[in-house]
Amino acid sequence: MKNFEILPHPSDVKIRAFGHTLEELFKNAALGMFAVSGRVISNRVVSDKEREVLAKGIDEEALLVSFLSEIWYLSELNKEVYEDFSEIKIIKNEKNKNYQIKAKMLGKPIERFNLEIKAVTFWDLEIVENPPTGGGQFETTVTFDI
Amino acid sequence: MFPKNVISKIDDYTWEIPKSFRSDMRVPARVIATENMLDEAVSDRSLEQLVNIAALPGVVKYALAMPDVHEGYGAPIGGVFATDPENDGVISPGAIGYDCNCGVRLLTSRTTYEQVKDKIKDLALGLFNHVPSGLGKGGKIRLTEQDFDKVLEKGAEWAVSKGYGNKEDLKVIEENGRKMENEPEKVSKRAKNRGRDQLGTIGSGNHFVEVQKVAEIYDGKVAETFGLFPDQITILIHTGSRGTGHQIATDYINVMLQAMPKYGIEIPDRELSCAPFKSPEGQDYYLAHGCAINFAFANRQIVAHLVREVWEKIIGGELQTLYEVAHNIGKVENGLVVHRKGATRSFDNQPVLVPGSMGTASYVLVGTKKAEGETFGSTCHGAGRRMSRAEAKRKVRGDVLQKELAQKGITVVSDSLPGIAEEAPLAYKDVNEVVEVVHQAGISKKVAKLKPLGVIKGG
Repeated sequence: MKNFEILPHPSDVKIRAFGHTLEELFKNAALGMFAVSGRVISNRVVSDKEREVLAKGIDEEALLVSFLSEIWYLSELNKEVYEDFSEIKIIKNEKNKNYQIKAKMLGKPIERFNLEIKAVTFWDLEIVENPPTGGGQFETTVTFDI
Repeated sequence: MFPKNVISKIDDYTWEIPKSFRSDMRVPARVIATENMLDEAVSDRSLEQLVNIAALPGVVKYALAMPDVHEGYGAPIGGVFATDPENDGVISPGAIGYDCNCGVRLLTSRTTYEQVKDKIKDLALGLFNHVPSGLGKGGKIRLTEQDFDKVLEKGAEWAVSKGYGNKEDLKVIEENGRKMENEPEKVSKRAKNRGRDQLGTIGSGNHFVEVQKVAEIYDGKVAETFGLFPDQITILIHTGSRGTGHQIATDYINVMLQAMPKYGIEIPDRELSCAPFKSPEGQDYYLAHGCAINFAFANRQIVAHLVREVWEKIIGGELQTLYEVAHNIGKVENGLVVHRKGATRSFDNQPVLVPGSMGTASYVLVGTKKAEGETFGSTCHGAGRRMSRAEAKRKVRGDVLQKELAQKGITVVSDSLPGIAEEAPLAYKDVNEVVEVVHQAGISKKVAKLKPLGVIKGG
């Protein structure tokens, strides 16, 4: 199973992410986002920093957009990329439309990105379970405004 | 593929998708285009997105697509519509775009190309070195939290008060460079943090500073009023509200998403999340959007100042602001909430600035009464993309393109060769064609064509 792939789109960039679990899907969507942005690693002698990310949303799709938006915000603020995730936990409360995610991630210092992501959009974003393409148990596309 | 057979011709440049096409449409959808352009538009999802905005609560008359329309997310790029706040009309952050008040300013000189043709390369390099562009480079301005709030409140006025440019500039900027409806408290800490280091920077992607000359004049009388003359050197600045604007839009799309059930609003695409303009959420966004607009005004005022410093050093003399106008904005005009996403205001007798893709041409036009009556006072904003960045990079090499443009007399200075490739002219529609359509459709009239001489862009 691939983690993600980059898809064509006229003005922005779209990825498709895969996962055996919802948590893995979310993680791979983040990896896809950093593949889109690229990076120039910092040559500062600074160790990787552990950070926590928290996000919430009214359903899984909203949660994914919140999660990626929060990660991107931290990325810009701290000048880091996050590609090592651990302890990802998604808590779903469908009745109250209250979905939450908590994760630990390792921040690698960067000089800059190769491409600036303005935002994570909702366009065409639908988390599909058991997709006919058989890419994994979960699949979604995410379009970024760049 | 959008079914072309449902589209009817209103006139040579106006096409309509009827309200009956989809049950949730509240008004028809119109495209300002030639038939060839329409053929291109049906091939991506831009018309589906146009139909989606025609379904928003309170939308009036028709939803419009300008001739540079292409698929975006939420509203199509080149999309215009208006809602009536007295009839539950909504405001939608995603239908305005993340780069709130992305726009352009045109500076004019009293100098001709003949007088300075040997200095153009130096000018381009000077601008590249002095105006922060590209990724990872912060602006030269350090702001405290209180200062930042003043920027969000006062826009270009703040910049002038700090010595960037002069009061005369403010008279020729949309909103006079300061959107009065604003409230920094409605802007999140995240949004402020994202933009704090970015004031006075142009960013990357399709943003640029471009040195040009007036290559052709179409309307001598209007050109004279605008202070344009043949062979004149002009400088065009294209940038927006940077990270602050992007985050404000992201924050409020989320706010609206959660608020919509309260108002019984259902929409075909979450990217169009909205709330009634008169609701607390609608008002909060409108005030935060005002702050983003002001950030962009301040940004362009500072960039213009930096450009003037370089000009003074290398060429000498003054640069005046002809005009500055937005092409991603939401505002109340004639009692309606007008949303322009990749569309420019085109009011009667006001300048309209249309930047072309790199290496092609830009245009100065003038707005018309017809636009005010028929397109909510709007016209196109540029050339519109027709090819993905990835495909452009496959087809074009940045260094090759740079050389080709140099041979045509256009100096491109950038710290990113892939960035140059992504912005290759072949990735865009033909701006000459786009401008010809709005001219023929009468929603803005050609005044002058500006040919690029030097392009400064970030990666």
